[in-house]
Amino acid sequence: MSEQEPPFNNSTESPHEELNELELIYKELDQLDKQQAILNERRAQKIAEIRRNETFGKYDQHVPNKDEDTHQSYLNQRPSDGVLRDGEGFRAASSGQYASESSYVAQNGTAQEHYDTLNGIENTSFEAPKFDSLSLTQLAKEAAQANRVNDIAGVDEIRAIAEHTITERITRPGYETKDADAEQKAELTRFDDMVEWLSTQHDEVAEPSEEAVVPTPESPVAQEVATEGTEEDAVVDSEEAPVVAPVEATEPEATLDTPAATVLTAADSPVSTPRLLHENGASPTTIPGAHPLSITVPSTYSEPQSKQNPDTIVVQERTTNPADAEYIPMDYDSNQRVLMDGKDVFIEAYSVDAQGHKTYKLDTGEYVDESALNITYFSDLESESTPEPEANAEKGTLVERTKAWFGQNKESHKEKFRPSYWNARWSGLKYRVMNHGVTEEMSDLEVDKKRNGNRRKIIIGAAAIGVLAIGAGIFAVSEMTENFNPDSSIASESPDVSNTDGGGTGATETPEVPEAPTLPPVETGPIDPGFTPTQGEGGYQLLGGLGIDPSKWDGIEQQLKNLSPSEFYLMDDGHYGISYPDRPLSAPVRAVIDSVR
Amino acid sequence: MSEDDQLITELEIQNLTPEEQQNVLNGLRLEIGEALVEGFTEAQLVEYQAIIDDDHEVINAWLVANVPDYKSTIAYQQLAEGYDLDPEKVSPDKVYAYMAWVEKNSPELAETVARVKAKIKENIDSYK
Repeated sequence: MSEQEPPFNNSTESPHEELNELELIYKELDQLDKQQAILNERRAQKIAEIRRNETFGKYDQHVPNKDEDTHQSYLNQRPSDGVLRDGEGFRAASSGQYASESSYVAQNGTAQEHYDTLNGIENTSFEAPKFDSLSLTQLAKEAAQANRVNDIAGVDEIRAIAEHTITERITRPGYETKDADAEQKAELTRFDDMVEWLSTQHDEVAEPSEEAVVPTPESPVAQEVATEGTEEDAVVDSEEAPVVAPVEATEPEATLDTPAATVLTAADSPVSTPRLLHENGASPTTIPGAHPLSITVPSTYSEPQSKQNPDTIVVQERTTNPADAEYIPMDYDSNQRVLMDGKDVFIEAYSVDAQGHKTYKLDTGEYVDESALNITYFSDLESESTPEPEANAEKGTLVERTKAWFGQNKESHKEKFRPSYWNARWSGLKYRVMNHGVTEEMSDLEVDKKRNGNRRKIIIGAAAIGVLAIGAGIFAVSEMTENFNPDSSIASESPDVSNTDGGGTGATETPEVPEAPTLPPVETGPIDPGFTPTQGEGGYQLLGGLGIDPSKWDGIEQQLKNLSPSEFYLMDDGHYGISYPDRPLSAPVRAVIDSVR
Repeated sequence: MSEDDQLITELEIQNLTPEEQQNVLNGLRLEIGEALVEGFTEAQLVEYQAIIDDDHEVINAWLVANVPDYKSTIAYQQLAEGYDLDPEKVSPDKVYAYMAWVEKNSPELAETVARVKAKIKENIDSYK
């Protein structure tokens, strides 16, 4: 062999090494080809996806016609469209077919005229609301409506009035507060929360959903109503909001003496609008603190009901003064809050006359004859819409709710640890999620690894959903601890089922359950109701309600979050909020809060 | 309403077949799991894997250290009920630990679940 390398081969590598290099290059080429094929396939899929979405209008832009940015403004220009009231029912204007009340309510958003005007739609009957005469709830609703139409200036104006109202309330003579600034801040936060919540609620109401139309008793609105309907009414409406809105007689020829019927029209949502003032059965002349309100008392009222204002409540005239009757207080929880002709009102008490007719005394002081109205009890709505165990669970204690939840769902959670569950899912094509990421090219080992990873993720996901559903219930200690004797041999007797539910390490021997350290005292007494946050209530309000300086929240919020992650969530402002309103906080959390008293 | 029914209502997939519904729900669980796993360390994952694989030693150690009075919890008692009649003897310790571990180790649990749910719902809605 010549010492000089041949001119056509200047490589110093041996032929064997060259062959390996060539093999490597071809392998690399093969891989690149594969990658190219995969990318081509993905590209084709993406193009198909875009075309499919385009075909089905996914990327279409929908722009409303000029001056038709609300459903009501749309209907205003199409008198033959929409849903009209027809006596007790509702009908579509165009077809005459029956329609749902929720559809009717949805198209008649509260104070819609106001926003029609804002949007430049002529509405001569509109009278601007007197914000400074409104209660906080009403202001919150107005702010929420302004929010909806992006009327930022309106929101700011209303908020400023709310702030002023709160300041007046806190600083009025005779009102005692330890920390006016903190209280004002807390009240304002509560107001903002309510505005935010109401804004969301309206979106739901706009959908034709029964649930959305009916505010829940836990809602801030209900809370506010509950407050306003009691002592707040007396304070806010009669003292703090002394502006008297004159009543408009929309039928000037009518007289107050006519025996037929009294038709009262509330322009605002019924939830907090001071509606009717019939303290002694006589006709009112002024409504303190009222939103624009009109009262019509026609002597020969014959206008068809379908043309009545949707916010109309008909009150039967009585021959005797209803205030003279003996009234029985209503059971607050079950029956006090009702829908009357679709309006949300509170009944304070009722009386029954000799003929068996019921008369209701509303929280506003008015008297309403039962026969005049369609009354739907909220308690009925709740029992209709929620299956029994959950309805009870909502109302019960944390322990009861946890019991109810596990009663319904423990089997589905246990199922994920049964071999049969996974075996069926690995093999069945219909359970494609279980094989997510598994490809034909994978080796058996890789497939097993992938499936096991999927199994772990699915199990974590299932646990997360379950834990969130019961909240602090996972750690709730039974009140029956003393009597409960969980089979202490369960762990030691349980056979080895490891590796049967999808593989894993698995222990071959079940160790004894070690003796638990000294158990903390089991709480059996009633939980301070202050530890049950209400909807929209933040940490400051919670502490305030417990008589603790609200500013102490800043010092313990991180500790609480660490202690019980799911009970708190991170808010936009960097502070922690409470995840589950209307559920008592867990015992460890309560203990931390108690420690800063 | 069971948990599944509640999710089906929440995601508005009542019109799908039961099979399709289960696929969506399992997809939801998978994605929630995927999102939560990102926040776990390798050691945490090994511990959780041992729990769901029924490693009694790990389960007991974890429970004693983190929920010492777990046998007094209503959740555990509910899970232990009917154990004698269960032919497969699914250990209540394991099922309790599998949930409690996630609660203890997921500081962003509520936010993550809400985010994934919203994403899945958006996907479903886009194909309606």
